[in-house]
Amino acid sequence: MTSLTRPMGAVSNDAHWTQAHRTHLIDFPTCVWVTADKIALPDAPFPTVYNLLTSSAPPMFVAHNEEPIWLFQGGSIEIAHRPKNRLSFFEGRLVELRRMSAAELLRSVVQRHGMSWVDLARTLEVSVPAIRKWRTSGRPSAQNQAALAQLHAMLDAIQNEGVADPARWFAEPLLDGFTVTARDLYDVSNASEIVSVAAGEGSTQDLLDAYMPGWRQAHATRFSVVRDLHGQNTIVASE
Amino acid sequence: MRAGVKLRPIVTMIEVRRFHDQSVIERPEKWSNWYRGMPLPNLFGDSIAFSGDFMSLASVPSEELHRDRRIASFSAHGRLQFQQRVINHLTRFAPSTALLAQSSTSLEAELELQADWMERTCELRGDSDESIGDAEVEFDKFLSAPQEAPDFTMGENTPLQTTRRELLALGEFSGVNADMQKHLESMN
Repeated sequence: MTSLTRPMGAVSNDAHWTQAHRTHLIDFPTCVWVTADKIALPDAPFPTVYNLLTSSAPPMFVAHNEEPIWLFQGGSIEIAHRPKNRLSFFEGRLVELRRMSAAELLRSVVQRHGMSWVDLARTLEVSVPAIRKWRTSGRPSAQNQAALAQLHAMLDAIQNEGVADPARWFAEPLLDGFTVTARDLYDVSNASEIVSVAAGEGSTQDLLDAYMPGWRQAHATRFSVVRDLHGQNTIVASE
Repeated sequence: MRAGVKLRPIVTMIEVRRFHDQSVIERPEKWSNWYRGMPLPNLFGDSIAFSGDFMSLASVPSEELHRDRRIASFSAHGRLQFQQRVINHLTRFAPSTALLAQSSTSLEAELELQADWMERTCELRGDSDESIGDAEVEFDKFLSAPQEAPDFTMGENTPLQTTRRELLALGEFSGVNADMQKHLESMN
């Protein structure tokens, strides 16, 4: 067994996350440890706490640094995310982020969420060279800087709802059979509604109907992207 | 077209010609329903249009392509438009650019990472052919290495076994990008 030398509440490096939303199932071939009935995710930027729901393996009760922990060896555990108050979280983050410069915001959104420059540019409706300029010497307009802070706050809020990779969620199709993404849908007026959809609470179709009339015709597709035997993405017609 | 960061020995080329269809040049929205070639308006910055002619394809040795003679490169959306037109030329089917974007996410991700890497290294070491070549090799090594995830380890700081390039192929761009941006920032 691997010795426990790290701080509490981490997940072993071979744990695999299988679901992006409120309930996560973690499979792990070796071991994972949990403090009491809660588990804290070490790479989450906020003090997010998850409640332990079930486990497939019997836990062993051990003590580490005089603190009791549950140790599971092999199997899976299911945990549930407890989001904070959505609106106050979003608005709180927005207040903090509005104090940052454009270069700091870009650095933060890329290092925290890994969002691509192309996605950032497309979402903010500016060019990639403009974004590159903001990173160095140039300053965006006040309107673009506010839009950047809002986008950052929305990604933070989506993450706070338990979506492990908000930038990826933002760029992937929202519904089977359609190419429309949250990135296509997003504008400064609907950020909090997009967060609700990410949390699995809002209706995606209702939101699309409200903000993108004609989305069904514009984004319907009989094709989907699958990975072939060699790991390459391939476009195939749906059966 | 590429093996790692290097071009393959033989690559496919398309001849570029002067383009005279002013109606398409003056009304760019018409391009979305015009697949015959690849419009290259204002290629030299002098308001003259060119077009990639799909009827004139050839294979050439990549060693004849000199970096210092490159005139322009496509934007991310330009690459999608180009793919759409090539597919249409070969099959008479024009997939939507949204679908093509979905299928080429990992390639686009790698291109974006490489652009950032090259920009940062040129900023630090200049843009001579030698330093660009070295930076390309370093970038390839970086992508071929496992993504380190110290927060997800128990005991020793053991890296994950999946390489960054494999993670990109799995659509895990965000983690690799965040990791690389921190790495670039620490370079001096």
